[in-house]
Amino acid sequence: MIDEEQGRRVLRRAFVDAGFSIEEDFPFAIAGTTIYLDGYDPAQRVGYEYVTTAAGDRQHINERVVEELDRLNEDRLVHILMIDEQYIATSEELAFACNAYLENLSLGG
Amino acid sequence: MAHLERLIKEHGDRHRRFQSNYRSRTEHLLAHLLPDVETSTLNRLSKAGFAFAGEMVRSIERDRLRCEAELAALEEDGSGKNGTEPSEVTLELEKLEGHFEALQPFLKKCFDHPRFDELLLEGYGTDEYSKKIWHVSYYLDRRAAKEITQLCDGRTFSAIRREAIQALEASNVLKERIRSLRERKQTLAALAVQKSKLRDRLESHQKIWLASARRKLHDLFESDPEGSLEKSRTLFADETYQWRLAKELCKEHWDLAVRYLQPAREAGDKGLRATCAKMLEEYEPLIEAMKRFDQPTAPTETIDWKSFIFKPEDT
Repeated sequence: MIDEEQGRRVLRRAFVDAGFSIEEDFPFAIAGTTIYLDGYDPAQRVGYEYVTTAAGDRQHINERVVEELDRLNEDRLVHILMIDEQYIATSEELAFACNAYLENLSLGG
Repeated sequence: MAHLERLIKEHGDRHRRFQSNYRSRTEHLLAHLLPDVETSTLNRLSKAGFAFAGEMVRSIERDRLRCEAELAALEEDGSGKNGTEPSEVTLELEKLEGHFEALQPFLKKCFDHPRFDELLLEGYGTDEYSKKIWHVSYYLDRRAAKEITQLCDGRTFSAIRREAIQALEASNVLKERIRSLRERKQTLAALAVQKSKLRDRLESHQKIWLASARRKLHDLFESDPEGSLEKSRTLFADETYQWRLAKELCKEHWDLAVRYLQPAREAGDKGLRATCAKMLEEYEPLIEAMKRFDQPTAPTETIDWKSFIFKPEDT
């Protein structure tokens, strides 16, 4: 696993390199609450959230929030990449997955 | 002192011969009293007062019947409905192990990839796969699936998945069957050992019980010589007398050493030469009287003088 700080660094670089204007800790109203996305471009409605236990994310990104984020993504109202630290072993793996997502996004996926 | 040491050595050598003679006489007597463990022999002993012999007749029969019944039960188990020859089990086992082994290289190739297990569980390659494109693990799964297809000669992941699941299921069935056959093989081997032991016991039944009866009788003679002599005398008077004589010889010969030779040595060690000489003076005529019972060893001369000196009944 990689920690919150490392994860955010990798993600920010990938999104910025792809041309997005990333604002960190962006307040995002969802499911009757406000969460702070690790990175978000409000103009493009593209962002990311790296969920780690150490940062206390699991309290805010609860089941209802995830459900709502899934629905928003499904309806293409936003494009927010969700990453659970449990699935990530290395920075390389995170960078690979993130770039694959951005490539998919650029192709209209 | 040299004279004393020589006497002690001679005494020791002679004592070993007396002991050997005593053992021979014991065996001789036991062989007469118990030439076999036939019912008539044991009944004769029982009537003479050796109570254990009567009980032994029943024990021998009980043991024989038990062995025969156990053997018959084992033979039945070996040839009954559950019966399989060990060679058949071995052949079947080899065949199934071969099938099992044949499946393993493919499974190993798949499971060597750290994510294969997870892909199977998540249903990757089927409609059950629920991860979305905005989940980062979706991309990691996709990469892992691509690596696995490359490992498996470019077959689609769905095909690999189907084959792996079939191989896993077959492996589990084979593993269970192999385990069960191995158990059966062990059981059959244990059965064969048990049958062999029972057959051996039945074949040597008389011999085993004869040894046991003689041990029992020997213990009786050792623990109660007087009582046993009385009973034995009525059956084999001469052999009993010879045994008693050999036993008493041993005892008296040992007593002479204790009464004279050991004190003589102690006196000699303390420099009491007169006491030592007196002890030997008393010892020598007594030992001379006992020497005539000493058995000769194998003749060392061309003419066997000893056979002239000792009459046949002395040997």
